[in-house]
Amino acid sequence: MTQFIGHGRIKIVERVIRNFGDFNELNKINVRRQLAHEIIGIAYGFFSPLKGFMTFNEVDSVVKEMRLPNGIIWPIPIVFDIDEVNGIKEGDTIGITYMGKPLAIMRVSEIYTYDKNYMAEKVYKTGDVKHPGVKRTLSYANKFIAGDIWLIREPKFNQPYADFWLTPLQHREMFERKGWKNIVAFQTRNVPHTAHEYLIKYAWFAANGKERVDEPKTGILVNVIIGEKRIGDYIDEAILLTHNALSKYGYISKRVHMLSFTLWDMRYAGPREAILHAITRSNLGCTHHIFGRDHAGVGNYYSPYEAHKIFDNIDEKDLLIKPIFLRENYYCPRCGSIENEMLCDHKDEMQVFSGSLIRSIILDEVKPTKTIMRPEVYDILIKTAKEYGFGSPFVTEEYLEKRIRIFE
Amino acid sequence: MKIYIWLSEELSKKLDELGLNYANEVLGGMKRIEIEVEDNIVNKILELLPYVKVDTSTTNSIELLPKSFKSEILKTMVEKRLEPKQALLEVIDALEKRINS
Repeated sequence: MTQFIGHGRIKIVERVIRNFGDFNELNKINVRRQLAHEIIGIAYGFFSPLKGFMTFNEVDSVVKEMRLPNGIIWPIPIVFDIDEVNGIKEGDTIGITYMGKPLAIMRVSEIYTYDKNYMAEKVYKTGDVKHPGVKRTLSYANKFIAGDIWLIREPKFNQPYADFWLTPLQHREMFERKGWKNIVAFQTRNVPHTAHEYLIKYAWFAANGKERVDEPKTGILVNVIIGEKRIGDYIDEAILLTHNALSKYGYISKRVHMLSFTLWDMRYAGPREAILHAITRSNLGCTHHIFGRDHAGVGNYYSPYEAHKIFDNIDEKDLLIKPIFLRENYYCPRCGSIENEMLCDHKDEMQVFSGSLIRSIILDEVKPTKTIMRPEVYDILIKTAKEYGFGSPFVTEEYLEKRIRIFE
Repeated sequence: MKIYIWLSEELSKKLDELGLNYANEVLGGMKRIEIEVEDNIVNKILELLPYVKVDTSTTNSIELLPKSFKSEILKTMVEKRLEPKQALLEVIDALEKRINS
């Protein structure tokens, strides 16, 4: 029997109404992509126990205490900002549309304002507008509406997304079918190189713990974050299809590998975002979560392992998932293998897999050695660039303008 | 400021065979030629290829140089047995003549 207990030890309930008839009679708000993604996330239970967008008290408690008022740990405010109230009152049920089509309904419990500068400072530990999370927070409209939401039109995902979309409940059913008792989550927004692959493999051993190894009792969930794209990021299709190539071509056995995605705009909140990632993956049914160097960080706002340190102050009972902390992997020419500082003493000779280095190799259209990137992964990357990226594996203005829709 | 040119395994082998051992191994067997360029050369490149990006913050290199430009440098090195910087200057010269003709 699949267990549906999620974060906060509260049962995950899908908030989906499949035949809602009175939508046209409701006062409506059309939402931007970020809010549409969050509505879908809330409705399926990715953000359980949240049932909707946060009230003033919830936001205030999250900002100040990193907890919901009921004591459940929660690091980042999930808010619905609005420019014009347009006659909406507390107690109303409103219709929410996305790209002109019905998406959800919301029972408005509160309309409020909040000090956005304070919110940004507390969540991101900086008020610097160059921080993308701060910039996002300060760009919110001046009012927020809170209330429970229900999805009334389920998203129909386009390819290649459709192959990798699973709700939290579907994740758990899949894990049960595979016989996995432990599931270690790997969070990514990158095309995989071999240092990622070994990070995942090391974590598999850690999560497998005392389980016998005659048949797989531990699986890996590579969970891609699909959300806001910036020029120069890898295109979403490339991230999904290259990770899929790792198991398709046997570099990580299909017996222990699964790939899916979560709709979420990264806030780059470093340590706080690490907690959020732990929460969402625990809602998917994962038992362990990999945290590497600079997890969910940006620039120099957080120290390289700050997302590890925050777990020192969190009681194990607060989360249903165990963090697995890993050092950054590098290629050690002396060992002739992928290593890290904990496992080899040739730090002086290490060759680091920096993102800009890998990117420059790809931009030069040079096939990396298989020590760096699996040949099939590179081939899929180039194929995906042609098929979905208008010739580039990286986000361009053309991609942003013309990319295929993730869902209808 | 530098220009980086990554080499495929095949090309790296070929350059080694010709005695043009200018590349350094950077990561997992991947070799890269690094050409140090002075401001006047950077300015000349920007004039000829205005869409390139001069990254002074992270890589300290000229980025988004077209593949054809880098290939031309390698071809010139091989054909004329030149060291990378000389090959670069010849390619810039040829490009300038082509644009101005």
